[in-house]
Amino acid sequence: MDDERINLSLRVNGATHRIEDAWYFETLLSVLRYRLALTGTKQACETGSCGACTVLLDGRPINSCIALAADVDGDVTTIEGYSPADGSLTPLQEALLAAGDVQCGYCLPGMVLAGSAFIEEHPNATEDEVREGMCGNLCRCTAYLSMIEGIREASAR
Amino acid sequence: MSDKLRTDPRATGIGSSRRRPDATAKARGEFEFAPDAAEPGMLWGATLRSPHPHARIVRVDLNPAKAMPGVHAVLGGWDVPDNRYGAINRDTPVLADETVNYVGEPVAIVAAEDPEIARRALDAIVVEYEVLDPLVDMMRALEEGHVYRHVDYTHGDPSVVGEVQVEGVYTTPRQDHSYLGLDGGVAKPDGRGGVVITGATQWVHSDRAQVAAALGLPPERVLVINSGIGGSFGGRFVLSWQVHGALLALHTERPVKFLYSREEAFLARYHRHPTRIWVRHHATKDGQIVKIEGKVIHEDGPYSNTNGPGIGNGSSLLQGPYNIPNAHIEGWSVGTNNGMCGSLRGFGVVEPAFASESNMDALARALGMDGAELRRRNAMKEGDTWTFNQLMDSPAPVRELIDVSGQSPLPDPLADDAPGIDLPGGIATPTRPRDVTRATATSSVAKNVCLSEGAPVNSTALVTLRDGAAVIECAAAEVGQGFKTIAEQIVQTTLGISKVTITGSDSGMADGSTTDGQLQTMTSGGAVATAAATLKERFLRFVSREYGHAVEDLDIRDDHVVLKDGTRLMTVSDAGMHLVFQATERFAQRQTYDLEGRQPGQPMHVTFNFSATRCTVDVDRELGLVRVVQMDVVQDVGRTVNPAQATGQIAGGLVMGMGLALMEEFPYADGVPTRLTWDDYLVPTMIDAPRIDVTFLEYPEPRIPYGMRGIAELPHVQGPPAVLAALRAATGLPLPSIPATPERVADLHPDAPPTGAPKGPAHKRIREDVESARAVPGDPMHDPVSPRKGPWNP
Repeated sequence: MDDERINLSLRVNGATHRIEDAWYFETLLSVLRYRLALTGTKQACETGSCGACTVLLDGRPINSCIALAADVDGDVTTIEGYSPADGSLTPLQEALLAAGDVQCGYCLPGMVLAGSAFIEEHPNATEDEVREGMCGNLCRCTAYLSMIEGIREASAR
Repeated sequence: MSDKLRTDPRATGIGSSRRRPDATAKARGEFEFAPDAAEPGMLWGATLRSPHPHARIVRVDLNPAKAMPGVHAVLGGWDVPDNRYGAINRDTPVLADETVNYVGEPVAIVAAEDPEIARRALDAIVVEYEVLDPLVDMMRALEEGHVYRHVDYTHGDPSVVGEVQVEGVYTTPRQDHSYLGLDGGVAKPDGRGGVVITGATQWVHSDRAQVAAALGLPPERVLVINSGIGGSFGGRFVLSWQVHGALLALHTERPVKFLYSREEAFLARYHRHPTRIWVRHHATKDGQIVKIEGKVIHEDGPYSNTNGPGIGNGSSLLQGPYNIPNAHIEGWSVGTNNGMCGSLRGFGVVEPAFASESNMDALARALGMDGAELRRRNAMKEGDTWTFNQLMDSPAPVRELIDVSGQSPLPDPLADDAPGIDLPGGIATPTRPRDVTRATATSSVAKNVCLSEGAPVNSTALVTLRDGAAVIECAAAEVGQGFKTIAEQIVQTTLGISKVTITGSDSGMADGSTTDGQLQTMTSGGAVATAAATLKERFLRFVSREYGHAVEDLDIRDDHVVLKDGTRLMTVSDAGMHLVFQATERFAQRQTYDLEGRQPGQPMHVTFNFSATRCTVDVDRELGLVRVVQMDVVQDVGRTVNPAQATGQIAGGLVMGMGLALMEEFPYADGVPTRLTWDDYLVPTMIDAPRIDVTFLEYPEPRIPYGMRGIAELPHVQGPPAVLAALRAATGLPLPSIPATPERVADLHPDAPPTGAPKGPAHKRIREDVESARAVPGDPMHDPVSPRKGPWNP
């Protein structure tokens, strides 16, 4: 089994982490959650189908559940790094909460990070643009309406 | 959603859209969910599962796995002290011992240093099976008498014949909960021979009783703690990894973490039962329904577990929200080798509601009558009697619901240049606007609220007031539905203060009710309200004694002790002199009784809720593509505690119901499941999201503080009939089966839908309730209940 173990380094939220003795096939999601204890990144489908594990790689959203950790070359931003250090909320986070419908919230960190990249590229987004741009992020509790509204509102800032 | 629904963390009291107390932590990724649980030195658990739908276990050799470096324990069925569990019926093996009865059934478990080593250890276990013929067809199961429960009842004069008779056979699929938060958590030894389980469950006390019984421990040796719950929808009522984790923790004396993969969650967990339902309405020529007949079959998987009450719900609620004087209904819960079945939002009622509303659509067509008008004409009202012989003794404003649902403006017509995302089929659709047919139709549904047929429905809450701030303790599970917010709002209003928080939930607390049957707001909410009222009385007696006002002159408003005329005397904080005031109260719903064999006046269900929806769909009839454009839903919620949350529950439930109506199906081929990812098992995305206009009626629920009524299951019940009524109006097709996939909507379905009423088994070989006598000490499902007498339960 020893030949299946590797050492790798990752830049996450501005810090460089040296990971010893990881399996060569470990995903970025697995390393973030179980080796770096950054559990804000959520595990839900492991097939890149739901967006709950979204992180930013050099500012662009990726599904960390289907990214090989050893392959990742760039700056990873997780929800812990994105959220203001003083415990407050970014305008996008506040808009998503104010729009009314957070339930279990398991999709929310992924929704926030995907949304943050979306609004960078879509100022004053229309409803259809949000529905198309964010359709890779599943939510099972809500009807998505408040998410569409929150993201549109944040894009107008 | 409109501006008035904005949530505000500072909003207080009943009627405000107070923001969830956990919202900020959830948005920042700091909220701990069960899959995030970790302990120093923990091992990882993994489960070996049956690849066969039915087989005899000839030989199991765990030794190759035990010998692997990094593996700490490997256990089989013979290692379980009492190898049967069940949330209601204890007939489900913790680990298969003699036979396996579905693909995914747990056979052995391991604990290892690392999840990958644990998986490799599973591969090393040798299991020799003698493969047996699986029973995979629910009709054959019925014929052969594999019946968990059979109900048969009549109402009025079952020989009555209507001038117009319309019948049909309707089928519904197996649906997956597909909550995002995977099943998992950590079990650790408590150092005194017991175990602490941190995970996600709808009912900590039921889990404790079941885990303790399986381990052969007294209940107090097991502590079940709810971590953050990533959705539930009825899917966390039955145990999954908990006994396995506890066994491994006790064997290894180390914390053991389980975390199912999505594929494993699909395989291991139970699903909504598929059904086949025959229904026949008898009516007069002018549309008065005079009789309903029905035969309801639930395919309930290899073990009964929770399924007995499902067929009770389904057989009783088949009539829908209509007053029908005569009836003959029969129902069967049957067993197959197609994977576990159990509760999913709207337990047992989603399916008959679809069947009977579908037949109402057919009846309206046969009568040449508008579907909304047929429903109005037969609408149930307070004072009517249900077919299962229970007086409708709370509000039933069905006609008003139907009328109000028709009052919202209809959506704008489809533009000639509408982009793909607004058309059936979505972004890259081949559909063009001129190929689209639009139709609108109305449906209405009813659901029982709370658990029924004698199940215990009670909850206890403790409220503590100190320095002007209150803390609520209640073991009720917060699965996302918003109980914690509502509990805070109830106490704010009852005590007249703004600073209110609520603690977590664990089985060391007094019994809380289960998060099931849309009962939590009106049951644990009732307990919270009662405890807060008692606390207020005590506090004001103290103020009266210490400050010399007559207690009947005192009240609390806006964090101040006031005279009844509003004069402020002092803050609640000052008045309390740093003392601690507490009250604990239990709130029980009224006692219910079995569907069959009740005495007159004994209710089967605690109460009911009702909604009506007008749904507009766009359809490309040739391609079978569908887009739900708008749903105008009206629901009687009794009292709107939190408008934003209530709207979210209703809209979210409708979309889940829309998923079942159009795309969700978890099929088996020869006993083997064929869709194990979200790329195959489709759930609604943002592309599918329709406009939803939610309107509340507020006729207070009798016997419940503030008149609150459950909300959250009914919209899922409402979704399929709403969508299908509109689809039938658009296509003219009967569409007797959901999901209404493109093949079905384009009428390409190669198999003719079933017809005719099913027959029961020729020779009764009923297996029902074999195990239910095995009561578990401390199990809330099996404890005798005495309904609490009180102001709301006279």
